[in-house]
Amino acid sequence: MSGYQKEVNILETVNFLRRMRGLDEVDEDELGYEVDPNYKYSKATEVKPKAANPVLPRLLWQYKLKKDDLTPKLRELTEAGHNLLCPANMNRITVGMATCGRAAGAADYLNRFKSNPNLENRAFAVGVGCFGSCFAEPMAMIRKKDGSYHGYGGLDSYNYWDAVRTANDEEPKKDWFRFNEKETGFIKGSGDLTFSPVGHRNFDAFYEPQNRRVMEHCGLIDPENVGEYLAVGGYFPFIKALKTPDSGVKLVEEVKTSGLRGRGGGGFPTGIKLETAAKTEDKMKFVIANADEGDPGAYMDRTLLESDPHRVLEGLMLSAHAIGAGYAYIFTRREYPLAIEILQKAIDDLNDIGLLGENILGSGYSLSIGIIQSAGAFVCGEETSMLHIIEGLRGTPFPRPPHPAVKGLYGYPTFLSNVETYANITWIAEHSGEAFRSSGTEESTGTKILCLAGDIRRTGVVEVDFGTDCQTIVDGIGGGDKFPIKAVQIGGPSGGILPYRSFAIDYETMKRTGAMVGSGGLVVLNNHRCMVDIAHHFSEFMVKESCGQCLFCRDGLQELERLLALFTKGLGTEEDLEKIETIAEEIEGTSLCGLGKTAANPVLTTLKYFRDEYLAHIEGRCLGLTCVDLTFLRFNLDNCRQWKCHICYSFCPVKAIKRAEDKGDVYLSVDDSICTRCRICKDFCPNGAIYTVTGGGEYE
Amino acid sequence: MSKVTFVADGVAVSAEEGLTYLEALKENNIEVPFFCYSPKVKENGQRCHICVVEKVNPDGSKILVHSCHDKISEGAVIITDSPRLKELRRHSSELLLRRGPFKNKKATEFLENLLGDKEKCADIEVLPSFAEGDIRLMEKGCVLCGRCVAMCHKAGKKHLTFLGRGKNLRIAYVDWESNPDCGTCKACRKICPVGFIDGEPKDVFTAAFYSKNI
Repeated sequence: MSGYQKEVNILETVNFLRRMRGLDEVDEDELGYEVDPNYKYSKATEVKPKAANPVLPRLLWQYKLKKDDLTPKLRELTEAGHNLLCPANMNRITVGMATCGRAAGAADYLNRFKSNPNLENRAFAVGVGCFGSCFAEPMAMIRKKDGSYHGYGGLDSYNYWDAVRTANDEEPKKDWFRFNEKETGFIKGSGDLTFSPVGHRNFDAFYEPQNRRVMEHCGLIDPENVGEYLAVGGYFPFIKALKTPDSGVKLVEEVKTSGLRGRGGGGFPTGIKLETAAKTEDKMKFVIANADEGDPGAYMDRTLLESDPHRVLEGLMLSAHAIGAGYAYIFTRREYPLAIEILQKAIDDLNDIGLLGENILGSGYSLSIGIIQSAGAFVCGEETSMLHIIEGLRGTPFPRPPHPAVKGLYGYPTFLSNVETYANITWIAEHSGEAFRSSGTEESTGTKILCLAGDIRRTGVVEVDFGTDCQTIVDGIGGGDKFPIKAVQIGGPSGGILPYRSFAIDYETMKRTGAMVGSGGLVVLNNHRCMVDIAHHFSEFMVKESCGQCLFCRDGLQELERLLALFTKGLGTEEDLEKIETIAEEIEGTSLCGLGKTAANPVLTTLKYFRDEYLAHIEGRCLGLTCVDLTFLRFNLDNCRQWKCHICYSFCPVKAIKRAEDKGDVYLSVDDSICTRCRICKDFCPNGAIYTVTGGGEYE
Repeated sequence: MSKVTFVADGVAVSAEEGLTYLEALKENNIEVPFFCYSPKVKENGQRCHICVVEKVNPDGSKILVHSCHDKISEGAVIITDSPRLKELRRHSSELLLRRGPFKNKKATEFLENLLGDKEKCADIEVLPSFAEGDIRLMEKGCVLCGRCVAMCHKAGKKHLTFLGRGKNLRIAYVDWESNPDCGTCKACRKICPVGFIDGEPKDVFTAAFYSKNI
């Protein structure tokens, strides 16, 4: 467990330390005391984490299963996982090791926790998934023997030692947040933890408005250890489904009752899809999970796969069992190497313990799961083009109907849904369809994972009820921004840009406003962003990512992008605005797939809500002060002359700042023809003497 | 095969089940302009929006339907000509003409007729990506209708394919070691609506560059 040297010779150690200090080495005589040649420092017997009470009887009772329903290996793994999750003799240190954590350097801290000699036999460290608080990465959480959790965000060389002291049974200091287990020694998810805020980090504002259902294990359990997932009650609904006759029909009914809608973007009722696929009489059926998310700023699928892959797999297995499919696939992006690695390990583990493969647990049902990697084009995430890719064809959508649930992969019925939908199906199988309706609105039930990004203090993956107010999410959970927030961009390039007001986030409201929930990316834009520029950016993205089947999506978007580019240069006219509207409507009307139909949404919504910005661009003003051709940097020489610091002058990468001296005073000015508006001078100016103006050069 | 009856421009039309709107209307002598569609290659998935017709929903709203792709359904109400459709076809032909000039005079005439405005034909600018001088410059004059790709696959040669996506979409020639003979059937030349393929596909399509690496 511990990585450091086990046996140390004292003489060697002394000589090593003397060498380090530049001293001569000593032999035994000079040492001053006798060294026992047989003495060797060695560790005390290694302590293994052990929970106070076994968890298996409790889980068996809860799911009304018998002991013999589980194989000995499964029983053993469950207890082993529980020992690791809720040890009563050691402290457990968890470090977020998803992609976001690794990018912030979590791997280094995990190694330091693992090899810290102070923690030997007192604590052990494991890597877990993402807790959702990307702003606090790298993050460590310490579970003490008494069932209290102490979270340390933003680990650094000081913070790290606070965490080590806490893990070393000292009084916890400077932790960001605390949890307590409702019943010490048992945990099924974050619902079994009570939150208590400490410190000044406002972590309560981030955590408390959330309703963690799908992400209840994220950041708590080790995604690479199937035992820990079993110990929190995972795979028990699946085992129960295998042992109960007609469980498939029941699950379909439950999903229909729940009102669960596809989380990938379209929002089609999952229950109806599942029922259609279940009712077809083909012997060959497929189940596919779509984890190919191409929206800029959305990463909920990746987070789920990296933090709780077994939950997705269980949903996949439950759906496959319900419709009687023998093959299941997970379709993911090649850009997610860590997710693929973790997923592959999870599938291998399941094959090892007999929850996948031929004749699972003697029930006569067989299932195999494969991973398919896409090349990462935006259109590959569209469900029909995804089927093309799995068949080995070019990733282009084909017209529906027939729907994939009737005639999908290789012409066989295929149940196709987003990764998050499967994670929700697991929740429904564990609880019930009626319980699922307890959160969310009448039409949009349940919770949604959203990715907060953009101009916001606390970025991260959050799970909230449907119908939660946008301002609760942005100002409450996200903590707002230092500048006033102008707009929110919801649902990626297919979604829309909405003015930042109080509105509920659910399928109906979004449809009314012209945006869509999409996969759940929520990019916050402050008043220093130009809406025309953003609309241009998104149409640029779509021009590159359109598959090219439909003329308007391919060439019409190019025309749209050209017109928007004119606006960002201040060359647009009112006629162009009308042209933009016509083309955008035509793209919506004629395109084949959902991505094409919604490709012009960012343009249409900005035209609807931010028309004044387009009109301002016609006049040569950029209200967001970002368009390069319409903004200029100017000096406030009253502020500048007192200091003469020349920071701007020396840092300008293109030497656009000109310097002139007159009667001992220094006058700085910007040459607009050279300046690229990178604004380094503005950022570096200690006196705030540089400011941006707009208005077509009228501010000379 | 059972007959399906639907209404087109106020006239009841009946045709065999499984036909597309375009085929059914053609049988009944109702003309719908079409461009990328060819009865020889129905597998072609590309859509040029020239053959678009309006379908009236029971609630009165109208949706656009591609008559070359969509199968006829019982009791549907179809409008083949309306101001909205004229405008849409005009825009489509404008966008198609921007990929020109075409070697085939007939195709140019057909599109210019749809555009209606002779003066405007002269002003049509080339596509921005053509002007930028990217790799697709060499395929100027191809409308990416996909007929040749579908034909090549139908003929079993599989030498032609789409390459890239979005504004970099182009048709590519692929050299198979196991299937080296190309230039014998000439099916792609005959089916091309704009006369872009006037020689060996190997020489015509830019992606001859790529064949060396395959």
